[in-house]
Amino acid sequence: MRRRGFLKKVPIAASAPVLLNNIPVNVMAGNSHLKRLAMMNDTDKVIVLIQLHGGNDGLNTLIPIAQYDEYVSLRPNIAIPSISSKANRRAIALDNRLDEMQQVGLHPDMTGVKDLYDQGKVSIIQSVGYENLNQSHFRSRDIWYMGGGYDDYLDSGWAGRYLETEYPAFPDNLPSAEMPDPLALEFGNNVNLIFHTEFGDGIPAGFPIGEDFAALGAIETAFPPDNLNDTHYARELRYILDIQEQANQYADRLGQVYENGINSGTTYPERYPLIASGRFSRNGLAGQLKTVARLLSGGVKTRIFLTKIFGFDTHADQVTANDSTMGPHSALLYHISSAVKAFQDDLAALGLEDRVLTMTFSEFGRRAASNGSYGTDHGTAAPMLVFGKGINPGVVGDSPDLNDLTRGANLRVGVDYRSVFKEALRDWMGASDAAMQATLFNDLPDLPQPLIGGRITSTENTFIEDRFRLNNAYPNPAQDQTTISYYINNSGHVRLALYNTMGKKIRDLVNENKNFGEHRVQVDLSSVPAGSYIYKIETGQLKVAKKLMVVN
Amino acid sequence: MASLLPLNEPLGKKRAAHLLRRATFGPSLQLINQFQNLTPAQAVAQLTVPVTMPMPPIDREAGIDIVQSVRANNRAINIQRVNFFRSWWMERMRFDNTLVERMTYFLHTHFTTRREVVNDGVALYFQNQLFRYYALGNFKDLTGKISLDNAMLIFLDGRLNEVGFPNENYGRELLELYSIGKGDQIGSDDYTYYTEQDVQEAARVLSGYKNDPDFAYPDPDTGLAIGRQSLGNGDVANRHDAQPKTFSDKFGGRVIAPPPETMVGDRTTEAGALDELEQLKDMIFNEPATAKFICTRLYRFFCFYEIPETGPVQDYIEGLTETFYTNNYELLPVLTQLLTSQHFYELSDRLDQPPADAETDDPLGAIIKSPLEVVIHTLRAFDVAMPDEGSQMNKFYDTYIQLIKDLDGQGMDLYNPIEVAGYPAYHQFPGFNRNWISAVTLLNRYSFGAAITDGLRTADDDLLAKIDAVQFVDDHISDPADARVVVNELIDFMFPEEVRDERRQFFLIQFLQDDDQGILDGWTQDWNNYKSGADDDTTVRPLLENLFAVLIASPEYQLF
Repeated sequence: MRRRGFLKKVPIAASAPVLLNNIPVNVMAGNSHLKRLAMMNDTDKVIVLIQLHGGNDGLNTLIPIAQYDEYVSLRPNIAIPSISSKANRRAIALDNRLDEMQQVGLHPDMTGVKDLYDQGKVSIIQSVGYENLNQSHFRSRDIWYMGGGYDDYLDSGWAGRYLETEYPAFPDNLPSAEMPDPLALEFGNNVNLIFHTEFGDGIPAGFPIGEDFAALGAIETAFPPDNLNDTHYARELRYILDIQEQANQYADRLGQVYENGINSGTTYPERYPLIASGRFSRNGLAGQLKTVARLLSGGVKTRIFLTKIFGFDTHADQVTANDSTMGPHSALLYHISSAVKAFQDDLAALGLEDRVLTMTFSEFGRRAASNGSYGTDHGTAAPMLVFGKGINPGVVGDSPDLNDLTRGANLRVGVDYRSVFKEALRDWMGASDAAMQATLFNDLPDLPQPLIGGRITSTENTFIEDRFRLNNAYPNPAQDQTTISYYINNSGHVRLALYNTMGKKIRDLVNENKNFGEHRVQVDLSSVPAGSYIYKIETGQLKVAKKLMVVN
Repeated sequence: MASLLPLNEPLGKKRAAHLLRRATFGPSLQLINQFQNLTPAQAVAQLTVPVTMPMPPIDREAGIDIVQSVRANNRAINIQRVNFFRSWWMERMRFDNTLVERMTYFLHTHFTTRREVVNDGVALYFQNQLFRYYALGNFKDLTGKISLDNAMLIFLDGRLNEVGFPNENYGRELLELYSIGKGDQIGSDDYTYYTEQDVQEAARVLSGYKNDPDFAYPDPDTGLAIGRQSLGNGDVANRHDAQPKTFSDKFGGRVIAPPPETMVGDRTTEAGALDELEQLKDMIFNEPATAKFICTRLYRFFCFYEIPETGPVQDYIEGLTETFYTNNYELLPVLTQLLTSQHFYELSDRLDQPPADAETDDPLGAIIKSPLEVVIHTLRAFDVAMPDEGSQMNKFYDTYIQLIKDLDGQGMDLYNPIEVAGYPAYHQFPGFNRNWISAVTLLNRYSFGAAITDGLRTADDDLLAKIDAVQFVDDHISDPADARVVVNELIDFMFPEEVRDERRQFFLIQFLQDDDQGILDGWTQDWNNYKSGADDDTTVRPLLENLFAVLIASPEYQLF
């Protein structure tokens, strides 16, 4: 078996575990965000990966709207109520502007993702996987880590190869003044295959993060005697010594960065507010993202962070028997959604939002049909969620076609996961040609629409204004009457009112629930004296005011 | 190299220590001395003498064993009961001088169960006893029994797998992780030795079993509580899928169905369902790939994780596979063959005899200890006095619960590996055992040295357990008055391999802060004063405790 083939030395790229939560908070005055932003270039860009461990059920994350009936008949015991259901907890309509086959409902516990989506900070890529998707957790995870296909067996990971090529000083001449930190940081005790390098002399590019971190003592004399040099014993001993040396190198520095860093006042979620069994109640992701934000604000130079959330292998009791919107999977989706929302808000408040791209992935999705245990067995394709100001917002690809399942009753793969990581590295991280070569992603096709936006601000504006806008009144200036129109992408309460320039309300124009879509209001101005006025709309995130001139 | 032929000469100290480190949870000096004059065959015969099955753990609150005591539907109490079991298990490891507890642990690393999901100390206890029962027995039989094990039925959802409502969780892992193993993926849904179709059909064969929350149903073969078919009227296995199951051409298109005489309408009886399980076992274990998969795991566990694609180690594993297969999956013959083979003892002290080939497969000292091995080896090596399980029950549990926390800090939540494949050290390529080591876990491993030499204590500062470094040196070091002898003999005992002279010097300086003659003479004086009663141990004890702590907190001690 090739995977058990004789190993090269397995380099750990730059991620290592460090425990930081216990380190006392020391808020440093006068942070230098503005200075850093001014100097921002590609090496300030980072990727935060969120691993959904166990295989996330994509169909209950993003409920297909156009094929809702097929969805229910495939999984009657776990189906989430449709967006048009009268149920209190039902799927949240994501975006009415999308094509019919792209329309999805978010799981009801994903309000945080909905908010970010409306702010133009979410890209959803449907049906991600790879050809002949392997339904073993372990093999499939390895494939995602190594950056290969179903028949590849590599000893290194895509992130490790990217990092070691981009930073040729690795491992011998790191840390350095330019790169004082691990190239990658990983939460947990281990360093994942994703950060293993091809040529790093046994050292991974990743470094693990825990709660305490300390230097481990001098290593000089511990090298094995010469006569043992070519033994397995000596090789394993040197591996331990390498990790010890790495720990010594990074211990002080990371502790210091963490102490220098801050979080904004953003509240990170701690628990699922509804009922979930003990194992699922606590938000295991939020603390990790909070630490990333703080390290970034403290000036860490690390390029890739790997965070993890466990528990997605929902063969049984994915939902509760009496309410399909409750249960472990709901809690997990809430954790992701609320933690990412807090993280994104924190980054915005810290002035770091332009530097961070966050992406979720999971080893596979789950079977289209549910099983008899209110759960789902292993499946194939699943969506990836990508967050940040830098992305091209929207949905890439149609919802999986539930009338065209594979022989094994699984969803078809539409997008190779390597295409997603490829665009993230090339277009977001600004990876060099050599580094892109090393990822082995170059032969994969680009996504049907670019993952990363061009100029951040312009993209964002178009996306949002296509969905939420207050149009100019016409005519304006107006005499006896004018028409005010607006477009909203979410159904909800709308308040539109006319104010004088002193801020005093003259008249309510709309104050009621409205469906999504374009709306017009005829405004009778015959009793309004000539002068300058303001009309202002408030609905969801849309809060805009415009000027109206009334003439005689 | 990599010879399966037995080594037919007395072990000597180094090889005796090697065997005992790998085949038990670490030797004491006495045990090494006992074993050094034995041949491997004699030694392994001693390690495989039959042992009696231990009595269940005692419920500390109820004062009776946990099988008898009343369970509560309360998370905190359940966790406590799991801790009784885990403490009890660690004590078995500490106590046992045979291969049985090693194999019990091996079987746990193989047939994984997570206590967090099962959340029932009694279910875990029975599963663990099942491993112990078959530790040196028949692996194929064990595979059948584990399919009915209460903890496993909970952990991998077997209890939810019913006719019409298949749940593939256990069926998949039975093939992929527990028996034949997953080969390279060679096509859509095709994993060399089985296909997705086989996963689905296996799940149907395994349908209808329910765990027994009362543990009232003893297995006729082992006497241990297991689960059984859900039974309707007249002994009908009413949740079992009794229709024929057709496997892929990987298994010759084999069809498994209940014996016709067991059919009752479109259902079968419990006997019919169990007969199908036997057929499934026969089908899977008829494939030599199954024997090879298990022997590969044994090789990784007892020798080394790295297995070159071709060459002597492959031949060696093929040899083990043949033994295992022709002995119908009995563990004792293959384990005896492995632990007495020349390859197992290939030593790396090459000063006198440089190896003919530069790249060697020598397994000595090359495995990174699991946290469990760090902890239990230490307790055993230094004769740490542990509170008595019966007469000092509270202290006993307090001690082990602290040690369980230590394990956790070192990266091992005992009986709760992070995923169904088990602790990454035993399966996660490419690093395998290296997965135990990171900046975080290494720090906690090293800290354990200081913790166990200072002594584990309760919140009220009552001593629970500690290494008595003074006593140990007095009992076991040939000339404790000579600081060099103290350091050298400890190194030779604790580390699996030779160290450089500078390394000995380094520990000597750690011990006495310096190594000039005056300092060494001072130690001699201090020790002699202590021995003569002219002084108590206030001078020698802290120095020795510090030495023990730094030796445990060394990279060399992490290997075995």
